Amino acid sequence: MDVTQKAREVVSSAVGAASRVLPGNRGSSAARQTLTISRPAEDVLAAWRDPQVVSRLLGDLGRAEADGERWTFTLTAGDERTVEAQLAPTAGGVEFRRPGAGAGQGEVRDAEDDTEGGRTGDGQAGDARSGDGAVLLRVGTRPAPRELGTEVTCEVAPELSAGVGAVPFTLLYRLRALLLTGEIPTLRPNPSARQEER
Amino acid sequence: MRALVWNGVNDLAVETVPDPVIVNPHDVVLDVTLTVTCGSDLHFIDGYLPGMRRGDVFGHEFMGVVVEVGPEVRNVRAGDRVVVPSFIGCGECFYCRNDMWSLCDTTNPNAPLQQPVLGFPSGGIYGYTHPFGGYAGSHAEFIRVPFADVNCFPVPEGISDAQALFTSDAAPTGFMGADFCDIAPGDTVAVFGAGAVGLMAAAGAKLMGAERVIVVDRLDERLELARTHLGAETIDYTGTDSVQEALRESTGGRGPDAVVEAVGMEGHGTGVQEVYDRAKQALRMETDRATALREAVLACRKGGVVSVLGVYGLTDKFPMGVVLNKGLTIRSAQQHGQRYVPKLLQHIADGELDTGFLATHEMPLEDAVRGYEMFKDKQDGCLRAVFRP
Repeated sequence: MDVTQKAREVVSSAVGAASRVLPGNRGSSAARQTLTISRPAEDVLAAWRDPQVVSRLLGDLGRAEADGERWTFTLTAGDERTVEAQLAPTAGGVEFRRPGAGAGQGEVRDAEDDTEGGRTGDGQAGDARSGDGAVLLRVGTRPAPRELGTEVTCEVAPELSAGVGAVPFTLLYRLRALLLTGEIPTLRPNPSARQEER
Repeated sequence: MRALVWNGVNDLAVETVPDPVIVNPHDVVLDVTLTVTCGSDLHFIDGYLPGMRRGDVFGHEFMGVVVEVGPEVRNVRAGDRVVVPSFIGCGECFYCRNDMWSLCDTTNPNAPLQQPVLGFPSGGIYGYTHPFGGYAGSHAEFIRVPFADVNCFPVPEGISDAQALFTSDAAPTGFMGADFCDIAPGDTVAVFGAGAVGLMAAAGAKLMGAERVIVVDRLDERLELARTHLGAETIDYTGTDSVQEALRESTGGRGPDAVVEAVGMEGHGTGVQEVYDRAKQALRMETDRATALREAVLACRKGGVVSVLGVYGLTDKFPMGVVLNKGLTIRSAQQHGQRYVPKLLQHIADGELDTGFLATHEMPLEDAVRGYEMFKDKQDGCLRAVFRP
């Protein structure tokens, strides 16, 4: 037996398994999550059109400013940089497109990925996950069954997710908390004996 | 303020840390009057439960007096004497509205840390690792309590602090475990573990109509508490070849109708299995010594309920085949305290429930390191060490 080859297979298998269980990770650029929020779609989408709310959702990741439909995202994870984007409505959602990018670019995805009881992948075009440069962030909504509210899907481009698959989940978790309770859970300032927090 | 902090595995200290403040509009700040050790703290103190950071203030079972109130708090006022469940609910999400408070969908600031492990994150909890929220704990002079309107329960006059304290966690956890058993008149319920949670499960089972409650442990002083305070029967598992057999024989060959497991990942046992689990846990090849859990599954009658209250991480060698072939129902949860606290306070007020005997030792917060040593090593019959900040 070729031990080196076997070791490669084992490592490859383990990496593959890990990538399948990490949130939002379905490949090297995947960053998508669906949560159900017990609020109407209009409330959800109104939140995404408000730069102050989006800044609160981003938290440590960055902040957003808007001049009409032109938005500027300042991303603070790693080296600080700005990204320009155009807010555009979609069927049941909104997306933030980079200037010059039209709708419909990128791959078409199939319905898949049950993340929290909701179906995702509605066949829309221009996948934010593909990193094709068209869409920085996309939010889609659909009615949830049994009057549970709205199924909200969030997709983010790799530069916004900073390669971390949990970013869409983080954004949606904070959005759900904000819409349901009026606040986002936080640990700041959280007393501890850590020197850096004094 | 002064607080007990975790500085590493088996490294605790009382230190000066910044005071908490109102952060969100539904917060209050409590002046902590009593706060108490819990067996689940031992899991991260001993290094089996990951996610603590050096300097973390811990502790999650407490009561206090409200000293600051956020602008959108409606039902709580400064000066109120309140008890607070350990898991933080928001009162608005699907789970809180369905009375499953520890599953709250909005109160865990570190939910993304937990999602890969659990699939769906739990609610936040005070002072109990960062995946569980990273909130500062209660072993301190003051604590911030989010969503005070649904998490602070005023303590009626006539109920002492020492009685009310345990309605924060041990009593609701135990009662929830008994509740899971769907007890019918005449039932026999076995409780594995005579810690505070197990004893409260036994008390709950009695109040819910169980005819017989049999408590299993190895510490005679705790079994004595079960006999004298709760009227329970007891089994010292170190004095019998097989708890399963002892329970079967004492129930006419039927077995208990339900078994509450109130031990968790650092349980003790006997025989080869104990040696195997200890070795594997010491080598970090598993996080749990699940002896009591396996015993509970084996001891329960066919078609019965096994109610799991003990805290576990990743357990291997779980006897799923036994569950299947005996048609058992497994029920488990972190405590949904907000569901039970009002009933528990009423039981105490009515003289039907005594929780005060759980506090075997009381001391100033400055002595908390010694308190945890006593608690961990079960010195001087320590069942719970209560701290006065």
